[in-house]
Amino acid sequence: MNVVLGVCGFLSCLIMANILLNKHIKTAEFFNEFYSFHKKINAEISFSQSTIKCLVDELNIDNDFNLAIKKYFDGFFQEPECEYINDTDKALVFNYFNALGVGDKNTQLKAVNAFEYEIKNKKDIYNENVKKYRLTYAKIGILFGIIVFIIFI
Amino acid sequence: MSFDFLPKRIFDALTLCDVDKLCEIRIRTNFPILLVFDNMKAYLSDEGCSVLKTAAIVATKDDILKTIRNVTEFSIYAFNQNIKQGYLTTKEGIRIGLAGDCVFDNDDIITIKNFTSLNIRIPHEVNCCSNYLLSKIIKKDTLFNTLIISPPFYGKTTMLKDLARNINRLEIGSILLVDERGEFNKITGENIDKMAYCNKAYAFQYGIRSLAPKIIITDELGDKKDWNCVNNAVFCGVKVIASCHGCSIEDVVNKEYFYKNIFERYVILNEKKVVESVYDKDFVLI
Repeated sequence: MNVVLGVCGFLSCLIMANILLNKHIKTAEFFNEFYSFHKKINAEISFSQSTIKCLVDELNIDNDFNLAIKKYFDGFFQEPECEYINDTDKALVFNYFNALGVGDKNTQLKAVNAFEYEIKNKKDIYNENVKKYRLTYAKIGILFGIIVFIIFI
Repeated sequence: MSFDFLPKRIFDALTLCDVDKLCEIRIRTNFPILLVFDNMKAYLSDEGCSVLKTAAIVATKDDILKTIRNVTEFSIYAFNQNIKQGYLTTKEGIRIGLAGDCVFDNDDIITIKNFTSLNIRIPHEVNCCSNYLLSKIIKKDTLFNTLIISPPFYGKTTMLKDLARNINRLEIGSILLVDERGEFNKITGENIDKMAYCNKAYAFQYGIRSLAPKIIITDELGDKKDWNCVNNAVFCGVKVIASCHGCSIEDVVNKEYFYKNIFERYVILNEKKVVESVYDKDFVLI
């Protein structure tokens, strides 16, 4: 019985570690999508005459960033609702959305490109965080798991 | 007619008004929103139309920007050609006149920014309004080159739209609609080809070559290029029906680029948006 409880405790610790890591993965994915959207927008404005709304309509709702921008363009005009994004990042996304539709080609490009450094920087940081924390959380999960297992048996 | 491109507060207030009779909505930053009906003006309030200025909704800069963003689908850059000419057209063919800071590079306009006013002109379909005119410009299946003359807001475009529908029904031949501003969006027909959002010079040249129209219908002849297009088309054997700003025959004849031998019928519209008089090519009342 104690062994079963110990195994359960060990698995719970691994799951907890995974949940903690998941927040970082989601944030990194969000910013990867954000950066890729920014690049698409840039190309669209530079070389095409189709509208940003068309581009947004074509996005699949298979990730939180696409969901957030679709919601914004559907007239809700709000920050993303993802709980794993901190307030500063939410404000960044919101300001970026607000910068869409501000002027002619040059003005629009300047407006969105003003965000490029920050988006790329955050994307890189969050991707680094995932790499860094993946190992850390795995170690912590296993360590706590072993401790819990030992306590139970 | 859908006004869903307007900010919610203005849209909600408009739903309480009789929009069927609405001709214009004038939105100016920091001023009450004005509604222009056929024969009266009123202000837009949260409860609908109001004659009280104090009850009116005061437009903000944000209202204007939101409207423009919605019409351009957040892509002002994609509509810059139209913006440079001072207007936008919604998908439903509602024309929105723009005022703001014009940006010039030498003599060329680059764009308009910091928009301060909008003039939303609501088009109306008046079926059969051109029946009388049609009887004056067609004789034994022959259509005369016709110029419709009136000041702005006297129904030139409405008349042209109905003429297009009527001529389509008569099956005289292929009609090319040259629609620079997208105002003829809803006009379709088995004999109608439409070239929208392009300038007259391109549409006339390309259209005559490739679509072989018998009749070209176009709105608002303005500068020398426009008059040249019509002149060339007429000498290619194409019949042209066009419109032009002016109050009288004299106004048009005195225009710098007026060509005397193009048009065979001159039609003057009055403020009631009906035909007041029709002149032949020698300016004799008929």
